[in-house]
Amino acid sequence: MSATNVSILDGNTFVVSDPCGDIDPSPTDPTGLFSWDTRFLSQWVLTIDGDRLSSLSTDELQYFQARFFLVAGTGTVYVDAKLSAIRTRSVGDGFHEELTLINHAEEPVDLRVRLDAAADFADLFEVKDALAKQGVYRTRVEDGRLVLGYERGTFRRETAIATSQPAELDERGLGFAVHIEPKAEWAVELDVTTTLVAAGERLSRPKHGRGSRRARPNMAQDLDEWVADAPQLECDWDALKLTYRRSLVDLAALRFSPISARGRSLPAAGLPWFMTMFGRDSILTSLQALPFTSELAATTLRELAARQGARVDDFRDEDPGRIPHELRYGELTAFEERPHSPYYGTADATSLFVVLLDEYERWTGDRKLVRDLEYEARAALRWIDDYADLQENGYVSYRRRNERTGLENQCWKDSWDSISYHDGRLPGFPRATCELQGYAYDAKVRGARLARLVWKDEPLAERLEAAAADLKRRFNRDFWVADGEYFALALDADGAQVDSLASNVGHLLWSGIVDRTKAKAIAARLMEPRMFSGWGVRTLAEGEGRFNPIGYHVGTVWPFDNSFIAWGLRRYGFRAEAARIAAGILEAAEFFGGRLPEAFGGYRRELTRYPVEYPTACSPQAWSTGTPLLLLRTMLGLEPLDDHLIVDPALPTRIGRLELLDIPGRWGRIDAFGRGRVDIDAQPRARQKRGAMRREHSVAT
Amino acid sequence: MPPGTPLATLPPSASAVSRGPERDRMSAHVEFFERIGKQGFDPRLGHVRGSVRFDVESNAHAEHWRVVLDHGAIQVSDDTADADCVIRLDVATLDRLVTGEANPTSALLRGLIGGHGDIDLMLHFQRLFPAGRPAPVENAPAGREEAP
Repeated sequence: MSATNVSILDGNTFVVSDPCGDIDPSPTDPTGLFSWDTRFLSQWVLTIDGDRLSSLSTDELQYFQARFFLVAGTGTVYVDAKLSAIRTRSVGDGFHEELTLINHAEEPVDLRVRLDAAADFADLFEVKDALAKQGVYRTRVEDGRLVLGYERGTFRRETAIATSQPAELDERGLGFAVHIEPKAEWAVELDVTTTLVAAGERLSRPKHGRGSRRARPNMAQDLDEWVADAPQLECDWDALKLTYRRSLVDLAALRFSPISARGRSLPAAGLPWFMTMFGRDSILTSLQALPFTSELAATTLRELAARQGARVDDFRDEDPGRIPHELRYGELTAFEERPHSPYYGTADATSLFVVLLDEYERWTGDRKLVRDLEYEARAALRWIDDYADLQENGYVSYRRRNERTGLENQCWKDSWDSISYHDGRLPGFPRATCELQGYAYDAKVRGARLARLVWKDEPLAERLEAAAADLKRRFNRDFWVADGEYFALALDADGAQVDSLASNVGHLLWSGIVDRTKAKAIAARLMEPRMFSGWGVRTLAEGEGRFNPIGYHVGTVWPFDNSFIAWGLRRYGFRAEAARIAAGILEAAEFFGGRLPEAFGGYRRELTRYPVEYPTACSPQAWSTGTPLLLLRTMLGLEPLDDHLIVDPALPTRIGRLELLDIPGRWGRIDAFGRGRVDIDAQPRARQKRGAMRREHSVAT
Repeated sequence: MPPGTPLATLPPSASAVSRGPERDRMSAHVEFFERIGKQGFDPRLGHVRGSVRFDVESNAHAEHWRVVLDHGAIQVSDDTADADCVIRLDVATLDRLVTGEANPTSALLRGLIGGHGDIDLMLHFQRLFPAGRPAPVENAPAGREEAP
């Protein structure tokens, strides 16, 4: 996707255009109007008297709204421009566009205004892989609207284009004969609406409860309420305030409401390829956001639970109890050419589901949801033991059963070469990556708490605790690479260690599976120059066979990864190390205007001085958007304890003071304050001497 | 045509047709509904509470199956009373669903299933459908079996 493209979005509906607001047909680029994983408009080009316009400027007013300032003519010098055009576009159920033409001349003008429109109805996967269509196109002019349609048997999708003034409609677009007086203007409103048709009924519901032909619901008010409801951040670092605001707004933009969710929303994973519900991404983003909003977690839990696996289905890699990986709505899913209805090939989401359910209860005290989802949580815990232990060695591992369209790597590092030995070789399958064991351990520990507290099942709690203790003991023995003092990235099909040093060890701290005696070594590994770039911890350490600072999962820095690593460091008492990561990632955010990308280059900070964006990174991406939120939680040391919120700040000196006001939870609303007292540049020994490691004041008001 | 107007012909409305004395007793879905009705309980429906009605188009007739779910308890009838979730489909699609040949989500996206009301109930109900088609696979892990 070109860096100059303009994207506006709301949930799984988004529009990607060029800086003029035009959409040119492209079989391979995600430009167009997309909704429900389908491209409902692949061409949308404005011409005046047959000529395209030139862009003066573009304002991305809100995440759902952009304004394009244009002039007639395509030259580089605009001295003769007597006509300007303003297009204001808002995404909703499709999009709404206001086109205004202004005649700056002393004479009246007569113009032919034309919008060429076409829809290829490509499945997002077809755009990604440039596949051909199998159905037929049916375009018609009807009731003053242009209707673009696609049919393959009973599968139907339609795009309708309506105008506020009469237009000349034909199968390739719409036109207006326009007369404008001197110093006057002319305007038209265009509504592009999308429809999924099922057995004679519309499938998608109008967003925000509006069913009119206008594609613009009242989103500005909704966004204001969303931001106003979140805790307020006050601090002396303006860039952090900007990043926080950006995170809240992007999180609002990424909210996605599945058809079954009755208007409630959960985080979609990211623009442009991942605007749907993902097990892992939706859970981790909900976890990051919990201190700021619990709504996303509640919807994520309910929607994933409703789709929990119930049978053994090899095409979908489904097992009873398994939490889905990815849900799609496009043509390839409809015709079972892709398994995303939903697809279950994830080895971590099932454990993380239990983790989120427990963390949600700790923050909100909402035991009703824990009771409602008792069956699903128990089934998830059973899946870990009954279906995930493919090697029967007591560890969670993965191997896809759908070998055609299933996922090879079913952990968060899901690219083909992400899991490798120190010498660069790739292990066979099944693979038991280390962080999966941490998540499973945490799920058992937290499941035990819920069993005791809510389900009143003491025997289950005891069984889970015993299993967790046993897993921890075996893990610290079998995964420990003694001569390097870290945990192996994975165990291979023979149960031997995949001996690379990777960021996955940081997640182990978050899960609590690391023996106290080994934690210091892990913290040291994470902060060594081969891992810590100065901005953050790399996905794979320098010196490993496949290390590449711009390799997707083999050397780049992922902000979300770092947020969980920092949380893990705090859990084991490494306050300065956590603060150092938080400062590095938040400083990197400044270079991206407060919007952290999915990943950036793993070059040493002193080499580039700025974080180098990964070429095809997805942005905004949900768990990058959630990263500043979790870093704030980590720096302030926010931990719920019954009906209280513990505040135990460990802020880098980069931040003078920080206040997070009105943190919602079972306590009502609480304020947290902290001062920057952790000198992150000091060497560990010097730091201890100066006493910067001491605990600061605790506030729990 | 105003927006929101159905684009395909709706199945005949429930009130306009007689329900099933002549229906095919050997049909897979009949067996399915009779089996779950007889079973009367399934733990996979955990906390779910509500009613789902299947309006089934079959040649000239319409059949109705109404299922009441209450914390795992299942009651089946051929009642036409209103339900929290109404699913419309033809008999061939229903037979393919209850035998695991078709996937409910895919069928919905394909336009083979229509409906209104609380789709969440249908998501839970589909847990009662058996396994789907096997994938092209080699070396499938051994020792897996479906949970009761």
